[in-house]
Amino acid sequence: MTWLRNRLYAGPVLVALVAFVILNMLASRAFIDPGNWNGLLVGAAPFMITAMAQTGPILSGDGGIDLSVGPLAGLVNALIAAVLVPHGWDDPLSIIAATIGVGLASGLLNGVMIAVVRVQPIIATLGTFLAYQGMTLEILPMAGGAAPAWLRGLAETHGHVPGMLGVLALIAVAWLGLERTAFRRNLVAVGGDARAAYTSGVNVAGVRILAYLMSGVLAALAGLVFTAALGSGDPSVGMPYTLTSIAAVALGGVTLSGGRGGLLGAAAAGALLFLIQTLFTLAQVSIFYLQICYGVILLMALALNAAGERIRRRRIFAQLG
Amino acid sequence: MHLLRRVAGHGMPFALAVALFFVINLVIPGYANLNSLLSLLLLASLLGLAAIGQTLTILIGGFDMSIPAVIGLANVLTALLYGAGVPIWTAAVVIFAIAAVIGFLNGFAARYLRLNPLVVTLAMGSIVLGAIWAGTHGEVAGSVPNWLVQTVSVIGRTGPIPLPGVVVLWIVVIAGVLLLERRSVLGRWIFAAGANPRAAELAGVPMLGVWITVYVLSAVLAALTGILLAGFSGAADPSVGAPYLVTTVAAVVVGGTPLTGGRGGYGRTVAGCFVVTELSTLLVGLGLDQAGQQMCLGFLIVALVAIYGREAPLSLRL
Amino acid sequence: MHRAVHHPAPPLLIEARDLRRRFGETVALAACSLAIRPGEIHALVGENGSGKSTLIKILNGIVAAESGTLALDGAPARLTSPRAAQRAGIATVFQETLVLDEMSVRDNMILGLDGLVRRRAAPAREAAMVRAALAALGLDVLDIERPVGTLSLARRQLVGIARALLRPWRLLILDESTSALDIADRDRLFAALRRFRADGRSILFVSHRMDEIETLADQATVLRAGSSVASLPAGAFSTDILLELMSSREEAGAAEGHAPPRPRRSRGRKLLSLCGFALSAGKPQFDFDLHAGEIVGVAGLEGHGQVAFLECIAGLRPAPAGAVAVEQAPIRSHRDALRRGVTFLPRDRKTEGIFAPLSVTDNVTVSCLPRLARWGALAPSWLTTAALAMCERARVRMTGAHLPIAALSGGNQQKALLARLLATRPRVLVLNDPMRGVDLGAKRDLYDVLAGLAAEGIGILLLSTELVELCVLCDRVMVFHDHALAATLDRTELAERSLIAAMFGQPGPGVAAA
Repeated sequence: MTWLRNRLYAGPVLVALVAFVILNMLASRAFIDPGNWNGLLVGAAPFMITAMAQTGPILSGDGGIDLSVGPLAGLVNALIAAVLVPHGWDDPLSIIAATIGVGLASGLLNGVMIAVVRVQPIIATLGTFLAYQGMTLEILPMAGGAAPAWLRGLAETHGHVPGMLGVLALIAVAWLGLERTAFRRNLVAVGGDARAAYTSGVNVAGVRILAYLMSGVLAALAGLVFTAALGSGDPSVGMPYTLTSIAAVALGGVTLSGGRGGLLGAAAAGALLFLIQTLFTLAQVSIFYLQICYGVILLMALALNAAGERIRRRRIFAQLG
Repeated sequence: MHLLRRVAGHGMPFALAVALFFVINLVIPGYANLNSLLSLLLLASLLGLAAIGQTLTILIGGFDMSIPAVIGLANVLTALLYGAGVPIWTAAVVIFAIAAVIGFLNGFAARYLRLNPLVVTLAMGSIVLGAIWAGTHGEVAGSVPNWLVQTVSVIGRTGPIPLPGVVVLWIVVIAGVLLLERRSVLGRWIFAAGANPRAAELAGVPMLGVWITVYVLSAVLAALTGILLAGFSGAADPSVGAPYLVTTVAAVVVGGTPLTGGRGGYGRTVAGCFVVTELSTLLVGLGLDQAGQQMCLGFLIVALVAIYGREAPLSLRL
Repeated sequence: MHRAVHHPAPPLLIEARDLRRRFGETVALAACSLAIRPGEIHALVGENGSGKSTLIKILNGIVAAESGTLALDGAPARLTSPRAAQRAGIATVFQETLVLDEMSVRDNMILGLDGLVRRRAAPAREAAMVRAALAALGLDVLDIERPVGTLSLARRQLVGIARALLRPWRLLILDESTSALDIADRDRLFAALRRFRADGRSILFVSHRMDEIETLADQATVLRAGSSVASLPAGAFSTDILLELMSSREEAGAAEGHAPPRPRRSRGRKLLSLCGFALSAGKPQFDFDLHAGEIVGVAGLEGHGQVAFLECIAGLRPAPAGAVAVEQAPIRSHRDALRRGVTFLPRDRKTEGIFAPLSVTDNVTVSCLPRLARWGALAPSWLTTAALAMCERARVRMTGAHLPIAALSGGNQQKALLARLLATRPRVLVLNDPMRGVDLGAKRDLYDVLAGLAAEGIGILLLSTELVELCVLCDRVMVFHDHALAATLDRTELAERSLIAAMFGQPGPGVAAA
């Protein structure tokens, strides 16, 4: 019961997701062919994972946002393709450890700047956004490098099971585990009203830092995933995911001022954004229009989110009488 | 007198600007000459015009991330329209009108629909840039009038004044913006709106009008920068505005206008423009590329905000 | 004078000595001492702004004292955060119900007991703990998965108390957290408090209800202007003694002596009229007229609709039923209200009133800029002249109008806000508790200013939480109970006792016919 009620927010986006799956199927026979499903999942995964990365900071409230999500994913891609692999550290352990390490370090940096030094989240993560973008270009000035074979395997099927499904399942299990802890309640409380959480005895700074750590690790993981998909490095591939991740969080029914929502809605909305993109491709629209489309979707997502929020509040107050 | 006192009051960033000039001189021998000074003034003017919108939107508690896209749009349209034989003034009117519509939408979405201004303007920027690419496919033919090139050239003059037109224009605009801030109803409303939005609303400040006006101003001035940049490079480029995303924010923050709204002002940003322009020169002199410069500016912004733009601790908000 | 009472052997649970704390210019606590023994119900009394809430914040680790000592069980204590205070065994129910409206009762109550990630108890045990704590207060029937925001104020207060009880506490602080409870709930709560006392636990009880303090407290500490002026054991204090200590001769004079009963005048013309008005659809409707030169008080227990009433008149929220009009012109929005000369002074000076970084001049003139301007342009001297004139009318005391308003004392900030209203040349002032947290001198000034404005023919609606104030200043007082007008007390019926009766919904003289 509670489980369901905590996920009601994601209802509209899940319905929209199903609608777009059907639309895509109507638009193209290839979409129905199970042989293409792996490719679709590989394409959708970075959208979904960056969207989930964006969720924690936004849930934590007080203007929480992580602009560095895209560039961090890009930095991990460049690190793998241009530093780790050329130096021979191409075994799974080194690469996964480096990915998670970079994610944790970035999350800690953002989190401490925001929760302890009290720099506005927008500014702190704009700083890391620029830093990661610069570092990426220093490491990998233009597309190149290669991903090790095992990593590319993540983007393939293994006996009909897509490797990407494993990655997503791993994230889902980790989040479901985390949801059973006190972290979720603390996060929602801090995002809903930090003052009330603080006077209740919640360690507000700790919760915020943890939210940004989560964001860092997930964004780094997104970088790992699209390295697998690309099979190489590309300095320009990460940055756009900042915008799509914010759009996905808004579309996913997560309250942008914090305190309500979760990873499910954001991930579903990430997949939805990908499906909109495939629909564009199927309709053979120039990719230049895609950027316009993302902008429009982001605006619409914000507007829908705000409208939904207003309706919900009215409903809560109506119950009072 | 009042103006003098105000300028003196923001001594810090100005002192920093002067100090940086000497530092550059140490790093790049022979830097201190008339040409370098003129080119510094010129670059600062362009940044200064683009940063007016950023200053005003931050003062009311917003952000304008669509400035680079509007600069790019104006830049491309100038070359296209003039190249197609449209008189430059007509072209300018058309460009300003389009910019005003973009600004209106930004302000309306941010205030009336209460959407996050940062994200709204990011989205708007994405739409505008996408539209430019979709419309031109990245190849812009066209030309700009010769006098426009002169206006934004180090060797340009303005009548009897031995300064390029854009610098003179900036000086006039600085005076205008400072007057707007201190001596107009709109100016006082801008500060009230940023200092305490709820109180401003209760006090009868027409918040929607203020927000829309500020965003329209921001977009129109970004468009002006874009037109001038067409003269600067002599050709059009949709991504010409890209660096201005960071540099405008940096100029505001370096000048000492906190992001919490209602404090600071354009006078401070003017100093910030010099510091940021000099810093770029210095970093280029040190051999840093575009990416390296952005990193340094990003670091500078975060460091300065950490020093004087911190938010109040929770315990004081109870 | 500090009349400290010497306590016998058992170590004190809490001993605070000479605590001092300033906020900017204002001294919130000057020299405050407090001693609480184990197994004691200790009342803390004082007027609004006497430093009670700052003392409670210090005991909660929200703010730190600048000087003075704080000892727990005889050993110096360092309370650096609410979490640290909880660990030391201090549980607090704040006056503002600081709960998360959208979270369930259960989550609200457990919140803060957990670690960052580690849960305090498994979900099933959690629910049992929550139910037990609620049952102790007679809330066995409550659905613990319901969002707290959907509960009535009284229930929310009880949930807040139950939440505190869930913590391992030795000192329970109740900061005016019984205001909305009915008699049955309160009796049950008091019985529980006495049980806790018998267990050797202590309660620090803050209330404005003197009868509650007399029946419950073993000891009472009185604060006045940031200092503890006395601490008396049960038997040594009575309502009269406490009231006298709280207010001192001088202060009692502020309301009663200084603001002399205003001469009764014939009513002026009708300024504002409400027709068939109700605060929510089902409640009984009423009509109301405000006349020129009249001060009408608005009273009610916290959260009983009186604030919503003011907001409807100021056009800040639509009237749920009926119409608000100024001379036939309806008020549907805040802009309408301002255009018709109905101006509103919000309750919370800091978040809704002042522009902290701006000058006094800017703060005062913000609402009348278009009138002062020519073609949208303003000369600084015009602003200064207008601001100084209004500040004089509102008796703002300051060293210069160019200084940031944050540099003024709370009372003068409040007067500057009144000056802002006056600058719009209003016909009706709607004031939400203007004397709240204001020092004595400023209060006196405000009483005078308001009486003067009424004499000039301005109509004033005055919400106040201080009953004496209402009795002295108002021509009549509207009392709200449970989101409806419970009574309108005329000049002749005005007394603290009749106001309290009406606030608690007990029928008395002058009850409005529905």
